[in-house]
Amino acid sequence: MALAQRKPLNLEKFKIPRGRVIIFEELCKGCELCIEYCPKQILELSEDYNERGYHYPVLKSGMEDECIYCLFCQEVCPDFAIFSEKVEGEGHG
Amino acid sequence: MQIKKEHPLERLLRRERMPHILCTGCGIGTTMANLVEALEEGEFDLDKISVVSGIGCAGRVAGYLNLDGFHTTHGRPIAFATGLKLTNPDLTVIVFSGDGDLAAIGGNHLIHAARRNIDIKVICINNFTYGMTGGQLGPTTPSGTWSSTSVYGNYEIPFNLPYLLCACGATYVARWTSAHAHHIKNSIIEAMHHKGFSFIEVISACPVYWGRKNKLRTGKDMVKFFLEHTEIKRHPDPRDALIQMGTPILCGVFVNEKRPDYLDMMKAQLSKKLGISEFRGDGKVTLPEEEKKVVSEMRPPKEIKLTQIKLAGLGGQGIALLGLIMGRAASIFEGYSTVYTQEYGPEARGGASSSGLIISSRAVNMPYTTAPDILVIMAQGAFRKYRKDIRENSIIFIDKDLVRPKNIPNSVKVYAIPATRMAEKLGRALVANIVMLGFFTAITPYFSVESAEKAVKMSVPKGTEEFNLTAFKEGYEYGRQYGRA
Repeated sequence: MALAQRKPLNLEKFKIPRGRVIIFEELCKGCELCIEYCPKQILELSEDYNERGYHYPVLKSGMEDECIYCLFCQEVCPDFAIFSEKVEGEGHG
Repeated sequence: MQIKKEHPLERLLRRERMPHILCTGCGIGTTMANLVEALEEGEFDLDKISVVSGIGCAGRVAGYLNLDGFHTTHGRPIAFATGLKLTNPDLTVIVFSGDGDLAAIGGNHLIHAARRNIDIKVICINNFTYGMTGGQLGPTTPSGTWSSTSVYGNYEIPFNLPYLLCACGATYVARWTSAHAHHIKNSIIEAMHHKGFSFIEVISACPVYWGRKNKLRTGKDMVKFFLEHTEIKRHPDPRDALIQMGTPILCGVFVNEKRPDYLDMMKAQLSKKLGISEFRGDGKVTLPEEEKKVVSEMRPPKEIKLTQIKLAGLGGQGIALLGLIMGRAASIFEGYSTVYTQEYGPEARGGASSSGLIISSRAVNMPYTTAPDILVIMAQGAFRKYRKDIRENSIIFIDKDLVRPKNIPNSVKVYAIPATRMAEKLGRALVANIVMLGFFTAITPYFSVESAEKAVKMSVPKGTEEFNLTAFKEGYEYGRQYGRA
């Protein structure tokens, strides 16, 4: 138990970065890779269709500020349709 | 409310060509994204990078990246890349292509480029199938899986590409799957800094063809399959890298070693033999600027109207050379504009052979002779073939013994000379064409004797000039009897 309670002394210094997800709906082909990869699971498939008839990812309601700027979605997206932007100065506690 | 912003990788993409043709869930898109991320993250000089790709789905990538690139013929991206690298060693050349392109049709280029250790970076998309043409069996389709041309299951053993490349001498060999996005990126950066032949195999999802036939219908399913069925090792043995269903796909960096590359070896060898110390691409060699030679424009001596000449005979009679000499005499030594073409069959001797020449005092805008005004015919077969081109007031030159003109309009002027017989008397039947040239020179006004003699000297093999000039004079004297046309 003692082991589990150990924490770094300078933990307060570190902040998990925050990001803002930006999605180009019209470029999406609905492969769902970003939804699969997102470690915080903040994306889901939209009800709506885009111009070409694909469902595109949207942020789950209430989780708009949960992005941790890991850039996984940007790395896996085959269509360059999603990216995350760092929100400076803010962080998840 | 979405705020429309620019994608951070926008400057590396050609958005006007997007959305790309790749299917939903295709692994090529992810690999391309990782390549772009790697170039961005590694802060490489984009002016010094070029992408070469072949044919197939993966071959489209060169067109989507905003980098200099080649979209080459099927299977040949490595051949193009080799040329590019050797011509401009300052460039970093990336080959981005598929398994069918690189390992099947271009297999020989791949193994020899690896053997020579040419400093190019090859990213091979291995999606187990020929995607663009409908999912046929490829050299990398795993045994026991289905494709549209192996409907009972594939019974062949696929290529073990990392093992093949290691055996051929590649100095950087890695394999990842399209599910390992981050690893691909790091591997590309590593390969970009590596000097020597680098090969990164990306096992890529093709949900539409290979996946659909093998119960992995979506890109998501394939990514999950890859993540579950791969084994990443620190120093994997390429001998275990054969992809079989039921055993994990071995991933990792198989080889990363230093060996002098092709250019280094070449320079070391040539410096010793030729005493050269500086080569192009060393970053210190400046080529001397060539002085521009002022060429005085030659005025044609007199106005003549455009004349089309057709020369025809059998292969071996020197028809092509005759046309060439006439063209040289008229253009180089007289200053007319000429166009010269030749056509011949695959036989070296005896087949049909012809050449065409157009002479004019103005610029010639025709690529080849269409309606000849003058025909030079040295064989009966050629006469039959070009009989239809003989019109009213045409002029034809024939070899008296070999050609019997029949069914020609009365207005046609026929100049006949026993050229072959005269050549034989001189010693060699070979110079019949030169005899004909002399005859032609005597009768037509297109070039002078001096010009024709200069052109003969310039065109015949060294040491035979005198003999050819004798033949020329024989023909010329014979022609003098006719007087100028």
